[in-house]
Amino acid sequence: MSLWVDKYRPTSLSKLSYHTEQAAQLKRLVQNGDFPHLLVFGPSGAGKKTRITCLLRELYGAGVEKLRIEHHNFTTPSKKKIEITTIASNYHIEVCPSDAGVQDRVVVQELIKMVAQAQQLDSSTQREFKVVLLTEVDRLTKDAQHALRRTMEKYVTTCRLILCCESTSKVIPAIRSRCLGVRVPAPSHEQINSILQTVCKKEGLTLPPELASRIADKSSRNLRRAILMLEACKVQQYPFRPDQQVVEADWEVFLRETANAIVSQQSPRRLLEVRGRLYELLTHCIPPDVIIRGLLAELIDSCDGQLKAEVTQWAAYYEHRLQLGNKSIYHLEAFVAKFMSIYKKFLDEGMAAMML
Amino acid sequence: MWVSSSFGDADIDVKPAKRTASLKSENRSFSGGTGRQHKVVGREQYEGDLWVDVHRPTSVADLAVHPKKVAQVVEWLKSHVMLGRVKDTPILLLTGPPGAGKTATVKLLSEQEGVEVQEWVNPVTEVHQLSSDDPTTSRGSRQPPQAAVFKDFLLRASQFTSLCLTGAPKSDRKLVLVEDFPNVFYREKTQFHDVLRHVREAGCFPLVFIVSETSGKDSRVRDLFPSDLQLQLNIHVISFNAVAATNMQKALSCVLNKEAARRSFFKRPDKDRIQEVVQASAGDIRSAVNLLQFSSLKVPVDRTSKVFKKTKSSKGNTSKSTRSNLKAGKEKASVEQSGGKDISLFLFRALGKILYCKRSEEEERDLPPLPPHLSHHKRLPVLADPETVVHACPLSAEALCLFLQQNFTEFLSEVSECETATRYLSDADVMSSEWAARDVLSHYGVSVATRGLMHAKTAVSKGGWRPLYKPEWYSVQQKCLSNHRTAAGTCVDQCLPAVELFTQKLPFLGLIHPSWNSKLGFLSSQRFTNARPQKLEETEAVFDEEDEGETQALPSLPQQQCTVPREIDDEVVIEDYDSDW
Repeated sequence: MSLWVDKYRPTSLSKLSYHTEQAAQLKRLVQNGDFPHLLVFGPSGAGKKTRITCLLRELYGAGVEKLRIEHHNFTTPSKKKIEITTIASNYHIEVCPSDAGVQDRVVVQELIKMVAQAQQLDSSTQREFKVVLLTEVDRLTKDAQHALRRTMEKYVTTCRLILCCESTSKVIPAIRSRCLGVRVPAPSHEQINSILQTVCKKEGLTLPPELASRIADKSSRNLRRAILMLEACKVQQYPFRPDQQVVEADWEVFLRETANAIVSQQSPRRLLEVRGRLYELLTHCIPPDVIIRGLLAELIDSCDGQLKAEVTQWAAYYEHRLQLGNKSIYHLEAFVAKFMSIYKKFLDEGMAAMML
Repeated sequence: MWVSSSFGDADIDVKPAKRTASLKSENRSFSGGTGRQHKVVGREQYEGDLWVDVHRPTSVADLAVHPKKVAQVVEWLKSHVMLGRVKDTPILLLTGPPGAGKTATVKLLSEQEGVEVQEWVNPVTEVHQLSSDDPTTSRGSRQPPQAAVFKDFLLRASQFTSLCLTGAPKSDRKLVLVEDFPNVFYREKTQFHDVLRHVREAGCFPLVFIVSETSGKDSRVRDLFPSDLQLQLNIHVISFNAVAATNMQKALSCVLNKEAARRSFFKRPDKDRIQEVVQASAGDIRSAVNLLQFSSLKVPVDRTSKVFKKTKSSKGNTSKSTRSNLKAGKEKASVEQSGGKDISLFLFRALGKILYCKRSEEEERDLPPLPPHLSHHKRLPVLADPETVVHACPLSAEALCLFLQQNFTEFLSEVSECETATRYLSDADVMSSEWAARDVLSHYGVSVATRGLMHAKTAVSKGGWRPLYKPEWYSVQQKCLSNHRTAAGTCVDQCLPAVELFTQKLPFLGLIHPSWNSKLGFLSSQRFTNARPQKLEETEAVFDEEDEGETQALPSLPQQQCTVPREIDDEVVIEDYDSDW
């Protein structure tokens, strides 16, 4: 049994329910049988991937939906073996090269070479190129991105690249200029609202509009999250009530509790407890930058005006260090300690002012 | 483990060295050959004799072993050996670090109970004297394979009592002791297992095996006595621990008393010295006694070396004593150089030196005072030089930083101090993260971390011992990795980037389809529990202790704390630890 997110994912460009104008443009783009390399970017849960699969289907027909999982092995020049999992159809291959870590350059080069060197068998009925879909391009190392640039030019006759990422800021300009950028903005509240209603209608459920708009609020314009929340709410309680509590991911709850623990007391001992909780989050593969951002969002709420700027500045500082550094816990903890210190000083000053 | 004889005797034959002796005259320093025995006994005792041999424990009370372990051995002896001949040879396996008193315990107890001990010592061969151009004849004709000799010895020894040629009172109680395994068995373990199985069926006297486990990675016990074999042959295992500091101290002062009684002009080392020896030996009583002896020798250097050589030449025969001699030599060297401190201990002390950060009482006089705006940086001079501490510490800079990070909160009293400390730790991490420059920068990184921590601490630490913990980072990393793999393996068709998979899909998947929980173990409804850090033992060298940590229940987490994951796998930690020294 599949999740609603997967079940009600639109499969063709004409069925997309928002940014329809863009969908029409994409359709026109592939109608003449060819298209340039694409760089699809936009926030998480905006429907980048959905759009790409729709595009592929438009291009190749239903054949692209027959997917198979392949495991590829690559050997680096230093004789290290990398295994990477790809999802492929006869016409395209999807890979997340950043899974290979620092050795992603080898994956990018070898994989594209492999795909591009094999020509389509029957090019009269099919397109004469295959598509390589690379996800999380922004997490590629600089090395790999430069390698990608060269490979892109070399095999342009036999393969097209679709790159997918959240933000183009980490993609080198050389790649950006070689691709057609397609920005997929996050859906608006109303769009999410209507999609939630559509899903419920298809499931044969009735969704109170209040609940729908609250879910849309909580989802922070992330459609995937909104639909997941909706389904979780349904599991929790059906029929829906307008004042029903919207289910959140457990790590978010945990993060909020952590933030509360930080605000309620500032002491070395509490810092130790918070560290335990940070470790717990890391254990469950929550990325450290997500943790620091989530913490900031929670902590900011309990701060006074001028403190907000300072705390945000420090969060940015330590998130930067997080990217530079090696072990995330140092920087997460440093941010927590910094906040505790600032906050305590603020409270103490407030107390002193009250006493005067 | 073949040790060539230092006697240079030509008449040492290639026969197995079965040594049979009643325990009254049993001594460690027996030669391996059959030719010479009783070398020490009856000879005038002089200064150069090793105290380890001279003052070996003579009663159970003298043993530095924990009474419980002694009781276990006694019980085994009573239930198996005292019955005389039995069917299905009982087998006892003693394990433990070297110098924990395994051999001493067995020998002493069997002496007390009047049990004869027959011990296997690897035979000394003379392959090197034969011409090398004809290996087949020189080997094949002269010597039976060592494994066969060993098997033969075990079978005979466990089947028959010895002939009493020496006139010692004969007893039909006997045990066969193997401490020296023929080295061929390390390569071909199954052969050894076959021998054991055979002997178990055929023999009727108990067998005692003693295996020294040196470090966590040593797999001798696992190789030679795998657990399925232990079950199959009903091998009783008693594992000794390193001698505890208090027991060690008692034993050492006992040795000193005896020595004082023996020699009139003997000058006792002072208490501190004994303490130092106890700490330096890390639970190895043999090395402790050796160290004590050498440290109490008040002679010029050249004479020391002569004495040392003499003792070596008189005992360099059995492998064990050679080893202990070598060890003593090493210890001695280290005593001269660095005060004889032991590696494992040093980690604990290094951490302590930095975390407690003792400062001298008085200020340095010649320095100009700090300007007012910097006055909050004023500190008294520290006693320990952090770089020296780091240098002497066996850990890599990175691991040391992790240890410091794990433990610093207990030593700081203010949040502002914590803030400074974490800032420096963060700096240190950024410094050492660049892979290419790591070998240079990591030194700076660890300096920044240690000095930063020391600087962060403004208040003088109140006395009182605080437990130290091992860093959780490695286990967190490992669990994260395994969770990642599980998830990626299960949800491969979902084709989502990892971040979205873990922050969005999986949490909700657990809520929507509880059946997924069984597929992905870490997705359980009690996903978030607080794991506890592991305590660092004072003399611990490897990470193999049970975890004893403190739990701090967060008030906001009412029911999520019930389970503490027990299966913390320290494999990675151990590797890292071992590779660094």
